[in-house]
Amino acid sequence: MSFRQRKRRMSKHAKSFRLEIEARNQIRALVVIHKPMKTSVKKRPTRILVISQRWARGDSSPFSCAESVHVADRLINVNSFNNLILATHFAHPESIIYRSVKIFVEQPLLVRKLDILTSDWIAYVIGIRYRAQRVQKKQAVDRTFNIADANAQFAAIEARKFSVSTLGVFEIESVFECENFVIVEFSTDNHSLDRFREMGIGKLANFLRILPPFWGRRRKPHKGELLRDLGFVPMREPRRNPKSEPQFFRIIPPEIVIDILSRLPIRTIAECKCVCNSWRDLLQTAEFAHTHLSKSVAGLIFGFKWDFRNLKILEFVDELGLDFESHDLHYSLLTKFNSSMGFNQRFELLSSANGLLFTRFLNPNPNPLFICNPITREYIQIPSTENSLYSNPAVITYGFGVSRKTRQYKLVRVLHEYEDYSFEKITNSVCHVYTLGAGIWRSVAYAPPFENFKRINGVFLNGNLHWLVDITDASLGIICFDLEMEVFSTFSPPRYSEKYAVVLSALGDCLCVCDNSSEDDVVIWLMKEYGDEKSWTKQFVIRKSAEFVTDSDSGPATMYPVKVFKDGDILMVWFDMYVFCYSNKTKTTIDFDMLGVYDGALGFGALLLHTPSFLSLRSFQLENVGSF
Amino acid sequence: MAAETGTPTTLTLKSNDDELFSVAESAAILSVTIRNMVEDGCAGGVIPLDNVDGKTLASVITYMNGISAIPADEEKKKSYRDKFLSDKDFETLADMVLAANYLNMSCLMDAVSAKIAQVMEKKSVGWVRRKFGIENDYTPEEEAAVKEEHKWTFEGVETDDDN
Repeated sequence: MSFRQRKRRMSKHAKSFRLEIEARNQIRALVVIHKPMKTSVKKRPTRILVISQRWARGDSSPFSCAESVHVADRLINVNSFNNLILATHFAHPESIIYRSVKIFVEQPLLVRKLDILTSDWIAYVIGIRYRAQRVQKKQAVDRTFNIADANAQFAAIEARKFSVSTLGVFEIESVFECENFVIVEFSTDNHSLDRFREMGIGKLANFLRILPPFWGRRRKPHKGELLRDLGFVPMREPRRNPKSEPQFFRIIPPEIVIDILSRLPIRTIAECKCVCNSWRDLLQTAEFAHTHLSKSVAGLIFGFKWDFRNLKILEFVDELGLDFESHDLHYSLLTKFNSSMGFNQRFELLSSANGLLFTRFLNPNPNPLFICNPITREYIQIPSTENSLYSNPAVITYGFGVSRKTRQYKLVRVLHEYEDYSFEKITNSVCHVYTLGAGIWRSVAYAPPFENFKRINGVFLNGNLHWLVDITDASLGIICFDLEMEVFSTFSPPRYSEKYAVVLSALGDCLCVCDNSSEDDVVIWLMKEYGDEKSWTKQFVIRKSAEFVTDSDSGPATMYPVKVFKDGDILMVWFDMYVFCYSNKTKTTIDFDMLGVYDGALGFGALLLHTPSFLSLRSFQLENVGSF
Repeated sequence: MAAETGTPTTLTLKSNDDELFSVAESAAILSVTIRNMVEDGCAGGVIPLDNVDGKTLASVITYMNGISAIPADEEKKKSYRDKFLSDKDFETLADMVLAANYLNMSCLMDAVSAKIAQVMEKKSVGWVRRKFGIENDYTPEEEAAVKEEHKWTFEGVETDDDN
């Protein structure tokens, strides 16, 4: 196919390119001004302009880009991204936290990220889709930013005399005009950008401010004029080689690239980051992480008791459409890692949501809390402030999940303080929420109405956290915490015989209650319609035969299902330590000998369903992200 | 509509290299783009598809006809898709994913994306660059740094470099 044909496709695609963002705080809107390409104008680039409208300052009329640069005077970056250029800038210079800015720059496609911006600062994004040919022939220029030359360079800019030579310390990639606005795209790297920021990035705003010299002209200037105005000597466009290499991924819209790459196995995706800069940028967007998550099947993360620091992640391979008969092929080892985060301490793996793990170290006091992503090998230590909250004996319960609508990752901490060590009378109950990216625990207006949470970690499902609690001495209830609205509600559990060996979990898309109180069988209930107490269904009844794997002297123990395989086998966890498979067909138990029976027989220190993801913790502002 | 009159309505599609194709309306409306045109009543004459060339369009039409002949049976449709894509080379798949995107055919789009992903699996970075025509714009240091970030993924993996 000829280049022209491909280009035509690209412009067609451009027409359908839209970005929208919910108006929030001071950001009124993000709109796309679409400029369809006229077929007669063959040599002009296709352009789309994405611009935010002005924030509340008494005036609601849209401002132009040039004005916004003037008003906000903090331009952070101009970034190229798969035929899309994104410029980001912020107001309120004092409130800038560079990392959050960097996130925004690194994830330019994720306009949704604006959700987490506080009202203290404002960002806008300008995107211009441009053709593959660059105005400036790409040269092997030293990419490091030369700080010594910077002042001279900006002086030159401010004197409106800049030219290719005075700007030679960056590599100028291309010049774009767009309505009343011109963007010069240049290459630099993060390190340079950092130094660049330190010496005053506001200069860059000045730099842009002088760019539209044709401001106020009636007629739009030709590109040649523009370049002359800017001090560039227009260069001839590079001749196109008719036998040029395939341009597939240059022309294919980023969302399709995301769609294709998100289907690859985790390892291949990680390798694809090495292909080129633009792929790496694309694979680091939260957009990609979420597309990938939506196509992923949960695997298992576990660590053995005797080797608790080394966690392993298994993928269930047959769930991806391959029909393996044998149990041996149900899983393969994806990775293993040491998650001790520098603490040589025992820790608990509390929960997993969207590929992020929530762990708590049992020493020192207060217990260090961590969120980590074993795929990107990043972690965040959450400030532990429990000690300041109570003076008497207290019980703390946690939960971790993602809110449904705004996709905020939240940790929840419920603290019950008792009068004394008899744990009979509660003197104080509080509930705190920590939103990843916000950097602080804050209290929620209403603490949960019940005490005695059966397990320390909440069950995350459907944007809510759930805990099984004692309502009275004889009855149980399920309390539910809505991560979006941050309010509690309660559900009734299904029938159960005795409350000691009842466990709440999530099985597939359903809340699940597993009752192991009876000596004869294990009953697994599912809430088929989430939130509807009438929909509790007795889904599986496992008869306990004489050789039932879970026979134990100490009476009923906690048991819960983790996963139901396609063939009806149920993966069960018993005593929070042992794992076995129950075959629904043969009604027998089978050892689930992940990496050897011996390991499993000694017991697991941690075991959770876990969906590996590329969600980068660096997308959370205000957090110090470490690597392991 | 076809079902009411008994005579199947035929649409004429024109590729960007001016090839004409006839296709039954019932098959063509798998493409949401075409369906919208039909519903808006602007599919009377020739429907120009500016972003699809003749070779690709012929493939897409083969697929439309094949898949619409299969009754509502997801298993059979899936096996048809697999068979349909099994002999396509990389270039063809690339053209088809763009065509499917333009024609807004989610089922084909899904299948082709999955097929491309399948082809890419276990291939080396060098293979991906060559096949996709991507220039390596990393400096050796940068590339090493990126590799270092994900070094666990390179442990114990063999890739076939030449296929």
